[in-house]
Amino acid sequence: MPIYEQTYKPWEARSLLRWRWRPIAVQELRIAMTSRLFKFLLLLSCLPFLIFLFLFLSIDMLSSNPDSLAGMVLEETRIVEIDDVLFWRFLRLCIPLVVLCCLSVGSGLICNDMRNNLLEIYFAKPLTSVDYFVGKLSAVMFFPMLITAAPALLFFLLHILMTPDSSADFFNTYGYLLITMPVYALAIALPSATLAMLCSALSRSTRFAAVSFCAILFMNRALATFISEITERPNLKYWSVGHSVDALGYVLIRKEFPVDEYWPYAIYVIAAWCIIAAGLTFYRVRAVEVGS
Amino acid sequence: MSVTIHAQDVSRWFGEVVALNKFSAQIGPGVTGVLGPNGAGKSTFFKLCTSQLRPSQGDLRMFGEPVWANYEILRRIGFCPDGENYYEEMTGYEFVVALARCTGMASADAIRSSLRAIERAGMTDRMHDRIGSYSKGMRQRVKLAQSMAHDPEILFLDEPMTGLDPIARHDTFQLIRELGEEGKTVVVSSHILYEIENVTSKVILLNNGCVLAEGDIRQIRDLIDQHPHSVSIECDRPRELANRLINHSHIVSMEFDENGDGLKIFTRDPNAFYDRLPDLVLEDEFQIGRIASPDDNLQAVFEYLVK
Repeated sequence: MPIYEQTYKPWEARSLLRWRWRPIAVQELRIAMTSRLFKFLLLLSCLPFLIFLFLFLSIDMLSSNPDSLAGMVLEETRIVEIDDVLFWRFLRLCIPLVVLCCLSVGSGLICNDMRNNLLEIYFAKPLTSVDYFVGKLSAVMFFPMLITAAPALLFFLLHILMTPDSSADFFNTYGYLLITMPVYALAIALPSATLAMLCSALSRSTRFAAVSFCAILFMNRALATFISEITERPNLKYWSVGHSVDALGYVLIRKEFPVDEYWPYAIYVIAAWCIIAAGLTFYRVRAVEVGS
Repeated sequence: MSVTIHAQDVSRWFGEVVALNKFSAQIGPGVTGVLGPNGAGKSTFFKLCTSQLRPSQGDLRMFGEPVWANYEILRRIGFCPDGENYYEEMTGYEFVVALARCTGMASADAIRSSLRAIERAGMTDRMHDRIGSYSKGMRQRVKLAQSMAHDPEILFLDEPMTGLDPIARHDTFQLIRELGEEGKTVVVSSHILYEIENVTSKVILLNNGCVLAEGDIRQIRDLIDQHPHSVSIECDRPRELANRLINHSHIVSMEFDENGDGLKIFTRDPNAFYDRLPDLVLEDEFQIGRIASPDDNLQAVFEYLVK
């Protein structure tokens, strides 16, 4: 009988505990960055940022020099003003890009792991299905937040820095945007991200997941609008997550809303949408974890 | 012998199907083979050991602690599953490092230990190539590297020799033996006796979810030798071949096929038979169409043990 050497080897790795999901998110982001289509999409996402950056810089520079002809024209006509509407317009412009980002990163997110039997490797590591889910969700949410909330906050700070004379007034009037803009960005990204994950978890094909993602978003909006028009009840259109996100944008950024509509519906619908999609995804992953 | 894996009456069922039935074993450091035909419960046992499945019944412990949802224990376990488990777009290096990071290693540690594991698996030359461009053997090696990248104390290797060419197979045998000699507990599954024989003498035989036998592989081999090994041969002159073989002492009996072009030989010493056969074929210029040995897959031994 062979005699084996018995040695004690202390475990040298650090404890991740709350950050166990991070390697999964990082890995997923790396995979996303290998796609040319996604890189192109990221470049495209820079376009609104560059346009608005130019706009913010131009307005600030011209308004700091009111004696110039352009400054006088801007002051007189007030064609463009840096206010809540401008931030709202930027975030709204980013919505299609956010949806495309979620579609691009999210559609292959879980189905690729299922198709390649990677879940059994993941779950043989010290990872739970919660870690896995949070890691994947973080990966899908990263780029949408990067192209919406991050530039919006940057524009806000840029404006404050470039117009020191009026910065106190601006901050007093629009300071709430520092909180509501990231919240609105989250409201834009989260429903798309959770839906993309759900479609990916329900299929083993990336294409099928992508098609079902688009179909659900389109059908949801079309159906809600149709029912709302037929029944002449405007509140019913909030069954559409797209309408709800739009409504939330009005409330959060512009602080205004049509009086005949009950806007909290928008919050309920977005919350329900995200909870159902995340719950089903989690259930599906968990089923694979314990049942394969 | 210290015990690292302790299983007591572990059962796992899926609905009405019992995948593992009252499995009891004590496994210590070194290499242990789990032998069994397909569907015997080997992969279920591995999934129970890696906390992917919860035992329906029984007690499964590692280092004295229950395994289920025990993440401190899972950090000390490496798992190389059967089947294809890869991200085709990633390089072998990225794949191994990413999975090492999942065990809680810091980035620098993960890189260092992954490089070491890749080197041990013999994949250093190709580690920066995409997995999609790897051969099946290379993929198997990368999978092996990811299982040992975090330097686990217990390794579960589910059919690690599948798809490997003879050289890679030899290297893998060597690696598994080395891991055992380092004091790690290595549990290797296979349905091919020869593969297990090359890495260890300790085996657990599984069949239909039950432990059929446990112990030294030589005892199993003796059982095989007692139980005549059958070889089917298709040739142009089966009666003439039978006549040439009948005088050999290890031949127990022979049967002819109904259509007359095949011969089934029962031998107590398959090695002696395989050594002699090429000479016979060359001497008398027999035209051999096919040689098959149904006993090679252990099924006959299992049937024999069940009887």
